[in-house]
Amino acid sequence: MTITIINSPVTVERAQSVARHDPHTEPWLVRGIIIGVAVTFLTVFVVLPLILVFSEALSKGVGFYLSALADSEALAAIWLTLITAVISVSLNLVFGVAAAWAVAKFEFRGKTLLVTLIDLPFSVSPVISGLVFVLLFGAQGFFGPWLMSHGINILFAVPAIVLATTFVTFPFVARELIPLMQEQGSQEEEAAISLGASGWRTFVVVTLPNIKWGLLYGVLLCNARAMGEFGAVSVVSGHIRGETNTMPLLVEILYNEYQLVASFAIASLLALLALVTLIAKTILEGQIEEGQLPRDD
Amino acid sequence: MSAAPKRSALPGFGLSMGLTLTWLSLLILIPLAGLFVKTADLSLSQFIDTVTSNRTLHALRISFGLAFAAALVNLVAGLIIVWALVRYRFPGRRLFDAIVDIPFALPTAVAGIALTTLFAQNGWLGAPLASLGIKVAFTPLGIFLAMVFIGIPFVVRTVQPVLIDLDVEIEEAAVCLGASRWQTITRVIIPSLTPAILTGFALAFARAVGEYGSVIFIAGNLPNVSEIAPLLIVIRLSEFRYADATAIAVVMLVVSFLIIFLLNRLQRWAQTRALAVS
Amino acid sequence: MTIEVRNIVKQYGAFKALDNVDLRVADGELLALLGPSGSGKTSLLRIIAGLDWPDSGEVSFDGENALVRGAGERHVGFVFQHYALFRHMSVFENVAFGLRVQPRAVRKSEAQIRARVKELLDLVQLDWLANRYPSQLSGGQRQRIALARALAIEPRILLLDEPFGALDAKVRKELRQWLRTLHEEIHVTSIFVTHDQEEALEVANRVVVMDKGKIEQIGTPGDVYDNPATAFVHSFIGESIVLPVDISDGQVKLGHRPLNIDAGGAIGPSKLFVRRHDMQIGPVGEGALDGTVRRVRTFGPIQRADIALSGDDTLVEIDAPRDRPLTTGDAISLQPRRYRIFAAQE
Repeated sequence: MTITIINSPVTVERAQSVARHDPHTEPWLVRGIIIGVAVTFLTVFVVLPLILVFSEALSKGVGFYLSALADSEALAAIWLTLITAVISVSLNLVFGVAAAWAVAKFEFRGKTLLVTLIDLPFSVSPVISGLVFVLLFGAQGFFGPWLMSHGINILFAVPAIVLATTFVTFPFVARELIPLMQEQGSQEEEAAISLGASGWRTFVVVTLPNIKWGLLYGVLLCNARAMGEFGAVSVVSGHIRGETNTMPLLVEILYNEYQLVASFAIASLLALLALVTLIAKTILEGQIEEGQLPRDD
Repeated sequence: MSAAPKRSALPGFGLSMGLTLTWLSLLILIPLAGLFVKTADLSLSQFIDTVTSNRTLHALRISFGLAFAAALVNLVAGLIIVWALVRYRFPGRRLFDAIVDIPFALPTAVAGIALTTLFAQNGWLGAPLASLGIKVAFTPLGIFLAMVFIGIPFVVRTVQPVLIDLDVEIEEAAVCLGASRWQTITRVIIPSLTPAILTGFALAFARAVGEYGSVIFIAGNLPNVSEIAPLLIVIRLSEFRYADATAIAVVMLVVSFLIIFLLNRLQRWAQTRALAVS
Repeated sequence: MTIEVRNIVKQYGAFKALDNVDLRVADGELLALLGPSGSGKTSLLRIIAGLDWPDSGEVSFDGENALVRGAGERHVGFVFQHYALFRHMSVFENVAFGLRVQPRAVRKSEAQIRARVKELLDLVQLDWLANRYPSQLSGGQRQRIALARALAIEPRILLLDEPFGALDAKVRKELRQWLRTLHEEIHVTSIFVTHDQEEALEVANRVVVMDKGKIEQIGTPGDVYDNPATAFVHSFIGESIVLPVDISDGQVKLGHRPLNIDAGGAIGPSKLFVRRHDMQIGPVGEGALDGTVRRVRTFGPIQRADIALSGDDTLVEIDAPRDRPLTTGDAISLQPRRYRIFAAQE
């Protein structure tokens, strides 16, 4: 850019405002285009589908919406979904805390491998996550014949649904806690131990208060995924109406039977769950940041 | 892996490690190992026949090919979104920032029926597109769009913290050295973000390859045309062809493992560089 | 290249970072901007570089308005506090960057670029590091590479923001010396920002002392040390004994004791500044102040003593030569050899 300075105050003024634009940013036109593209992309791909769920669900009025939710199949699906979520979240909560304690507070060989293995379910297709349990407990599976001869139902029953859900949601709590606890270090725990506190007491009184928001966040994410899991559960459930259908499975069945409004009504509950989770996430992230010790510069 | 730790003042290593390893083995490792054991039911030639059959190859090609294309779109769109969210202030910015996570949090079946209805020929977006002669729902294009949808958060969320932490000084240094804004972005900023961008791309790709719920509704599921690999596994299972289902799953798993391996490599590479200047 | 800064005002919200600052830098000078954090020295440097713009005022290089040009067009070499090396580029590519981004019409050939980078790496004595990455360098090496990179574009002005701030004490000392030598070699007009008085006094030809967005004094290192223009400069540079005094009828009083020194025109509540080594020790009654030695420690050629002044037991720390040893309990008198009196603020 070359600027010729003519002896007129107006020109100088304009030249100044051109050069004055912050060296850290782009011209306003470019900025506008980038913001426009970002907002349009998110609106088309995320906002519109979300709005559509609620608009379809309510398209025949609130009465119809509520009766779709009060249907006995719907209630059974909601109940099964809640039970499944409670069991798998509790299991993964215990596991997640144990894994985070081992990984964050101790040095040992193979740590990277362990963390990779914990993350494994994230990179496995949900369908494969279901498939592995079919292979274990199905009629042609490793334990299938034995289970069948003893009259124990795992596949196409609630136990398999819980197992598949737990498999899929396995990493959530641990993943949230490990970086948080690593960042916090072990000094506070070491101080408590040196003051004579027992290990368990140290955990409850020192560690837990420090990680409570991260823990809650992990539990929320885990819960959202547990309630919404579709692929893995679909493979192991057997789709027995009123018995082994979770909410996402019922959404599929109703949709395929062209009961669109009922399908979207159930879907809207799940969408609501997602929204609540995200709002809680936003709040919790603020809390977690506040909980961190101020960094000294 | 459980070699004893270096001495530590804290108790509970045995308990927490024992619990972790037991749970990990019972729930994850043994079931996954079962998958590989099951493929042994097939002879090698059977295995090869299964995974190279026309229908399987098509399904794999659709899953991997479209996932790759979708991850590319996510990469570009993700960078634009991150840039707008981090570098600019505009009304609704925080809201849009929160919205990025929805594809991650929304149950896949819900996303599936919503996208299908949206892009169906009488849908909000499907109708105008149809009048342009573009058919989305029940075509590979629909699969592609669904994969784009679920991949949105990955590039954004991996690149965002890195861009936020990027030192303004390096941009100022480039400017002082005479670089134009475009040169600063392409030669200094983007290369600094590359490890995060690649990580985000790989995550989005891995997710899209295995995706089931949000894709099957909009896919149309025509064998050899719009049938994804995970669906083919489900179909083989419902036909009780367990070994066939397992063979496809093994191929997908191996590729996923390779992606994880690459990811770890990438992160290590990023870390050695990130040790710099601070 | 001369730099002229006139009436610069820069405000961040309610905080006035620069309050009507005027400064002239002569061609080939090595100037230090010295002040505590928040004094506005870095803001001034960034405005000269074109990284920030003033709210009002003028900046000109050789009489030509610099504010109409962006940072990239000012041909200013800027060395950042944390070096801001490009971590994904080798040392060689870092130094070459400024040459590679030039418009094609004026860009040097690859061979010329290589030669120039080599020359610069030789200049900073780090040619053997050309293929390393910034993460593999020590702090002092990074600093020198950052300097080589800034020099690559043949800047008309060199600006350094706290150039030694992030280094440990030993490396700092070495680099100071080195920067002086380098400046004598290339002789480009240079300004560096520092909060370290020793650094400013040792390296610069001229020192600009700043506080709260204003320039307190401009002068040679000797000037600002020996003839501080304000109370701030006196207390910021060098160690001073500061005593609250009151002046009426030309008489300087500490509490109720007259000090028998010249008030030099000051009136009312004031502050008496004396350098530690400017206190003459004598027998009781023969100086302006009497006191008792409380503690003595000796290092090298001096002895440092805490003296409790008679009357109110105020403790002052003085440095004295070792020819007349002091011991705890000695009653002595103190007479300022050189001193300054400034009106007390607030």
